[in-house]
Amino acid sequence: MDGKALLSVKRLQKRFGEFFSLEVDDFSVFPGKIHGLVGVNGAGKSLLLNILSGLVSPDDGEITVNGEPQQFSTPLDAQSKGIVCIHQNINLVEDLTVAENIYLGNLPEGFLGKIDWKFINESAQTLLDTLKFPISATAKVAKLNLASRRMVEIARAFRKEPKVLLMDEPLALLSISDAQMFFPALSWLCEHGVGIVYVSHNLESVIEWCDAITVLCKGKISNRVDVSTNTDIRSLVMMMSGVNYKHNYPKLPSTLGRTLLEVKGICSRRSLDNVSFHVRKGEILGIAGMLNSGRTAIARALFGLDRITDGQISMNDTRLDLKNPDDAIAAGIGYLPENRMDRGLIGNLSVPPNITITSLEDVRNLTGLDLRREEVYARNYVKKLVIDTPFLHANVGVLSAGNQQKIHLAKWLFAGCNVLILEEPTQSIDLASKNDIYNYMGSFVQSGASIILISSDLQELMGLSDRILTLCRGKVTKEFHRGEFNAEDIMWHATLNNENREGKDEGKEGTTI
Amino acid sequence: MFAENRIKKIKEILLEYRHIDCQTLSSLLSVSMNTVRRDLDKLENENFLKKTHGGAVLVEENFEVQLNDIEDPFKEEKRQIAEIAAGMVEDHDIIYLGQGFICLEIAKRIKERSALTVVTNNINALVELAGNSQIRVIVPGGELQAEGNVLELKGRYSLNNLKKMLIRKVFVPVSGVTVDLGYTCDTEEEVELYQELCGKAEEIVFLADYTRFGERSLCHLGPVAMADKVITNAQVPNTFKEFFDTSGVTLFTAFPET
Repeated sequence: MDGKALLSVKRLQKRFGEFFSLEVDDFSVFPGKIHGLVGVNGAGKSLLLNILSGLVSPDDGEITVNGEPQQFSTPLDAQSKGIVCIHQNINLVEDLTVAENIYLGNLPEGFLGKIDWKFINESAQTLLDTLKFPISATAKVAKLNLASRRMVEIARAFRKEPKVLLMDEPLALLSISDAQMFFPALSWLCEHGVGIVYVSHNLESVIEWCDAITVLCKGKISNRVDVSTNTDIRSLVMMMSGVNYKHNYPKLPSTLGRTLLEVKGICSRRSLDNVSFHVRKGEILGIAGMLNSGRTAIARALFGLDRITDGQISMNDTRLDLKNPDDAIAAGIGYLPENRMDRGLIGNLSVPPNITITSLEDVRNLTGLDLRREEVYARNYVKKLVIDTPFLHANVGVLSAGNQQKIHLAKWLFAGCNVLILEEPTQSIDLASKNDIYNYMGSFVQSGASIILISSDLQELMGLSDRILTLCRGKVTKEFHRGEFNAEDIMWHATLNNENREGKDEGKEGTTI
Repeated sequence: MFAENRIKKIKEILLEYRHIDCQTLSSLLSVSMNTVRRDLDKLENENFLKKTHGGAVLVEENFEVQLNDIEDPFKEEKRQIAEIAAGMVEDHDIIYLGQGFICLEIAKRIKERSALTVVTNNINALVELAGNSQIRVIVPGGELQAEGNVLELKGRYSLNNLKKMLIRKVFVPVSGVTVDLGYTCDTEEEVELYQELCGKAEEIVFLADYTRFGERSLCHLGPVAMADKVITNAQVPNTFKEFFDTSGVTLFTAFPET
């Protein structure tokens, strides 16, 4: 096998952050084969692609191309060996034409260094025709819809004459009919001996198109599957969920009060389609969904980051008009987004300002901020949440991920919120802080508050939630009550939903959320 | 922490170690050195201790003071543990409550419930429950032991009667928890009783305030994995939080009041 592999990695290791490491002992791409790579969010799929395409250097292990060991320090190194990656986000220059984008960075020069536009336009058009993409090479990219932009990206990758093509979620946000247009292009590439790595959450397409599938789970390869007629989605889903890994979640039997937050038929620009649910006092509502399922869109709508285009949100039977996060905070809604250092905390400020920042009114005096009072509040929270900081005025950026997350939590407790939206609250956090956060969630809801928990960790969701909603393509697909949780069913409803496949608005710009 | 509590804790620490330095006290109590010095001044005036350079020693005549004579400094922590334990008790449960203050506090928190069966030798706890006819209270029996106003029944009679009972959830305090040994108790009698109970229970819940972690007592009860759940305070060292997760025991913690 080794002799034939176009690209192969052995004993690859990459530590990423404090608590995630990717360890791939063996992964190979063969000519003319499509190799599927699947796993839940955070399993390490994109990281593996980034290493293969030279964007990230591994800590250890070897990469070989055609049997020769390689070391890529930039994506250009990888490209010179014929490895081209199409990333999850579309990277096109909107104000240039399709042909210009396809030849970007490598415009062929003709007589006296003049750029040969005729050649560029013509050869770009030939390429598009060969791949059977119905796009005009002279159209401006800005005028194209999402599917066509993806096609331009594939054409551009193909123009680089790849031997190995890596594709990270190329079909995200596309409708099924659009997605089908890509397949002939891929098989055409295969016929010409190109090896393809295909990363996708769309398991149907993975099984339909791929020759072999590798399942990543928590940074390690958990399964390798040779696709045959009896490869089914359910078993793949089970492999992805990694349910064999047992954790313990401190969950108390809950006493649920009346409905605190009610959401009726909300729609938003960020792909929410008639979403309704409610959260009761004392309840932890789990939301299961893949990337782009709308799970972040729910949080953003509830926190006033995105205006809802239809439907209504009410708290304690009072309708809320959330124009911005200030309105949400005033209504008692707090949000811990996925990436706490980018969107939650200010790394080069110390602990006290990070805690009081959303409610400065409470520490204001006549002349400005009452720093002594701020410090007293902060000291209380540091003690309450057993935050481990060398001293109170340490910059938050230097603390461990677990302690940062606790400070983030303290911020919302100080703001006095009673509905807390937690998105991936324990991602890349040490076990001890994880335990603290779980326990604190319990004590928070016991005081009559509510939590909306968005997590890719299915075990965590099942361990802590009183109810779980599955979300797929902006719609709630199913509701599960505690006691009837079943990993397989939840994954099934979160990953696939045949009814909702068709008729997704085209041309809607897919913002990665 | 209130000054009163702090003073009690300092007394307890001194009774155990006879001497201590300010630095250690300050970090144990998480207060500043100045606060520690003020507290030591106060206790010096009471003639409980004598200040030395950088610390304090216990005044000799206090050597005979028993730990029981001073009030438990960790009552608040124990009440919080009881609060969580009470949350685990569900309707129609059959539970066992062990000895001591935490179990008494659990009794106080479940006495308004209905359709419960409580088996206990903790007389203070059963007095709490006696007012509610919806709760069936069963006393396995034994020999009365009274320490101040703490009353409990002990001995073989208990063990023999408990052998006949099928208890669903067992709540018992342990006096020491270490990573390598697991749980320890003060007396062999407790160990015998708890092992009997744990052999048949559906859910075993051990209770210990955070100061018990890292400590060991005379009698070995069982390894860490023996319990299903352990309830303590969030101040418990991180090593335990990690260790419990990996050994299949769910660790519940109560957060300090501020």
